[in-house]
Amino acid sequence: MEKNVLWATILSAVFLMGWYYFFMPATQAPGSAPVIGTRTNVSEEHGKSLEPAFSKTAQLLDAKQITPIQPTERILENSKLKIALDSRGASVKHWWIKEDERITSKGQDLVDLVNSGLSSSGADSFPLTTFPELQFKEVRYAKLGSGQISSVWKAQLASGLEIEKSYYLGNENGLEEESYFSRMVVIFRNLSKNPIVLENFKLGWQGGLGTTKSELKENQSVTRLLAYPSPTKEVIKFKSGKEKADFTWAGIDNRYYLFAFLPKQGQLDHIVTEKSKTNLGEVFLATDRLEVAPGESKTYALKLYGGPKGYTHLRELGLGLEHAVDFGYFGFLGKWALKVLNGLKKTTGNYGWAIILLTCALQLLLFPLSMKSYRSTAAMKKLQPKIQELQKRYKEDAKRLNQEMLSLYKESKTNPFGGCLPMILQIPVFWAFFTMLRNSYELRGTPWIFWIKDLSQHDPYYILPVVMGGGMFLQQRLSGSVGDPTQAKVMMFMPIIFTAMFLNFPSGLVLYWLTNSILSISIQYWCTKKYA
Amino acid sequence: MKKTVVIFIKVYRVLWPLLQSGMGLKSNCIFVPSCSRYMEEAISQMGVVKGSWIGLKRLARCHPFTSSGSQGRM
Repeated sequence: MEKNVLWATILSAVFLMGWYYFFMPATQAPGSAPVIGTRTNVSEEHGKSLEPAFSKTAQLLDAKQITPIQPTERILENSKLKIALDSRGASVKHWWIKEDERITSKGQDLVDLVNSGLSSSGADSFPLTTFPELQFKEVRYAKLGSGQISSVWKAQLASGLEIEKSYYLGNENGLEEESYFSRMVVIFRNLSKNPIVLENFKLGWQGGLGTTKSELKENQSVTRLLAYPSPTKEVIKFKSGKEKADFTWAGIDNRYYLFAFLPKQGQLDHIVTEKSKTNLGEVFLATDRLEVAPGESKTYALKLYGGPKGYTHLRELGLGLEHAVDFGYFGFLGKWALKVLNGLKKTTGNYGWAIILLTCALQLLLFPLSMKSYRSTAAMKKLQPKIQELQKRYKEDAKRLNQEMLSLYKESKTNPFGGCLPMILQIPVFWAFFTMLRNSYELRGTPWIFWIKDLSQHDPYYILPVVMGGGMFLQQRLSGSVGDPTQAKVMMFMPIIFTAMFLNFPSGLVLYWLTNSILSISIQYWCTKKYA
Repeated sequence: MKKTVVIFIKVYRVLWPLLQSGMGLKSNCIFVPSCSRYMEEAISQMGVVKGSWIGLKRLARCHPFTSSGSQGRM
């Protein structure tokens, strides 16, 4: 029996590890940041040299720019965003987002979407960089009364190509209210007498996407590179590769935040993405060949979204950004659940109670089913002695035994709610709820009662998971005799393993699970009493 | 092998009710004994291959159009 116990423990551990892995994707230490950069090849005139920009930096720069210049910074700030621009490549050093008051009022630091703390390569991996080794100079900064803030940067390549890069917060006419949107305009001007060609020009977000402290552990595994093609309703997820840029938007996201480009159609040919163990994730808009004739210029204008990923909020923007919110395989159910949850939140004023109410409603819907199940189980138990007696009496006569059994069960008929099928149909509902509660930005910073201040974070005192474990223990006691000692020992282990597993789950999710368990146990207890 | 599979079924029997109640899934079992006990017995009597097959056949019969009752005999 000792061997069996060992086996049972190993198997259950394996099963639970699988389960754990399924719900909580493997985490990766964010320490090893990638060394990446814009690998832009410059071929001057007739494509003589195709050396990467980095190796021949000196050739690219004006003589005066070779002497090291201290990088300069510019902060653009309104009520939604605080962006720190860096002169190296006119890149983005920090992209802080100002969230709802319910979050910022708790004294939390602003979330920075740039993973700067994690990248070892410094300015090379700052997002939105163009020629990271090139020092840009800010030539204009303006803050208008209408709320528009602009910052214009310039630099010149040795070939005579001038790059003008402008960042804008707020709308040109100041009509649009302050938002997580900003705009970027890049102008290439050929000041030389020869045509200039940039090979494999890329502009994009790199170094992964930053997030709030509590999410850091899982961030690498939940970071996705994606794009939304307008005619369909589904986002396309990328690993590493090159795609034709036929999208409304392309971007990078994690559980609660999204950074997206909304380019004008046909400006940059394709999207280049990469994410690996060493690369936290990058998404570029790119073109194979950027050619500027002498005296001419080329302009690229992009709208940028860098902010939270709340479904309701993104949907109101009407740009299809809400499709970045992952509701799992049964997305339509998840959206429906979120809608109902939002409605209940309005009535109760609290997401915690909304979760409890919605769970209760679902249990109520399925109540007849479970009642029937317990009734037939109880009835069948009562018949067991009679069946055994019949089996003993007609041991030799199988035909007679069948007849007798049939007459015993003559009242049983086909049951439209019987069998495992109804239960299988309920699994999508559970899964939709689970994914919705796990990923909803709406829950961020929302309290329940007493000690639960944020339903998207784990319970700070682990009360809910421990109560849940206790409930499981009770449930096992209630279901009665176990039979063999192996099973009894495994049973002792299960609630402990489950509690450990749920310790770091968002408390909203644990609340859902706990409510379900308590209701299930109560119904079981009540029915067992009633039909005993 | 046989023992391993049987233990696995036993673990499932302990684990599943906990998951089921937390997930809020409601079932209406129509067979006595339960499918897991049935399969366990089948496997310990007839071996893993034949026993599993018989157990799976029992599971396949678990749908709304089967009349309920004891199907303890194999």
